[in-house]
Amino acid sequence: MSALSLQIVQPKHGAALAGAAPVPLVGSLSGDPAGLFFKWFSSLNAAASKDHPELNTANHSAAILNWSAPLAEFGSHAIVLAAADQDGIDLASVKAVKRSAMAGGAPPAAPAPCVVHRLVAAIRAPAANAQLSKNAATIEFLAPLRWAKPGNAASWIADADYQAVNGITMDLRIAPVGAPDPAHTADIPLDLAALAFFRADDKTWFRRTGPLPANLGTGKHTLTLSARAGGTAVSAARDVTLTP
Amino acid sequence: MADLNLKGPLNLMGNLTLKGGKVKINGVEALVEVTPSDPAQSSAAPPVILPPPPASPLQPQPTVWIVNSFNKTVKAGSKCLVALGMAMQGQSGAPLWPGMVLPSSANATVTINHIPVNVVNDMAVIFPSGGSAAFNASGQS
Repeated sequence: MSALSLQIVQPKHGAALAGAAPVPLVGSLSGDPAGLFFKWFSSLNAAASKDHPELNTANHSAAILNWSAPLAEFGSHAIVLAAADQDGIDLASVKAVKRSAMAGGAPPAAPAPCVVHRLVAAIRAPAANAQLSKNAATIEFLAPLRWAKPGNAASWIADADYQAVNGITMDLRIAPVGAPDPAHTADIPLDLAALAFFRADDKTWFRRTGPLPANLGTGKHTLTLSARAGGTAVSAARDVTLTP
Repeated sequence: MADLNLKGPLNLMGNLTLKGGKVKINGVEALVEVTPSDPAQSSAAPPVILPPPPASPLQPQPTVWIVNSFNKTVKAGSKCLVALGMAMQGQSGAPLWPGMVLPSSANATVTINHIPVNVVNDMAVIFPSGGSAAFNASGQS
């Protein structure tokens, strides 16, 4: 029996996902595919269950080596492609595996890692056309799905394991409405790990508080939030009125 | 009883039971196949948080066992030495999440049928999370 080897052809490690189109999942197998079952996994699979943590629940044939899935959950997905000669994932089935191969997983241990980044930008506060104090601005926006996890006593704590894999950065831009005015425009990088977070509406949100850059004026401005990875950005914008 | 310390290049073939103390490869304990009711071989793997929030994770325990060695012929006492294989993460006795043992990073010279024997500090990737478990206990008693 020939040795098995799997490779993830698509998506590329580090790729950013933007837009609604399904994400191509393409793998290649070296070795005899006879009797093998193929499964794609994502660490952010919201539909994962005890019996079916994989993405391709309905089809485990070799045809799934050229497939696509939404990967819609906001955040960095660790993708694994696995093949085994047992279809089940219960203990008895795993103990019976004689041939297996895998590709992907999270760095640094995985030999050929595959982590891709679903970008989402969503502003919670301030509301559209609300006032925003330059001296004490509070801006709230959506955090990746696994930025926090349930801790003890119903509180939520930082999910350090996710944050070690996260490859998404975020930033803010505040610019006067109208003609470009670089002198009165501010680009604000965000240190996500240093930001406060909270839970609302069954989601985790970041909260940035504090003064805004001094070069900003007052009056109508556009607040833009961008989520970035792999050279791609997704943005959300709303108009606000800056006050002293 | 004294440990048995194997040094390579050495390729083990056929049925072989190594008896005595612990089997070591270049001074590091070889991993063996265990059952998930044995003490965990990795106790600090990244938890599998599936499904992700806001749902409650099904089995977030960081414990991992090598439940299936692809080598069935060379044993340390009654337990098969691991030369690649399958692992499972989760709850003691009934873990949920499958994974695969990676090729040994520390031993390239002592092999079973030309596959390097896995040793302490080798790793597995858990499929559903993509996370890695480092085996800090061999499973040998």
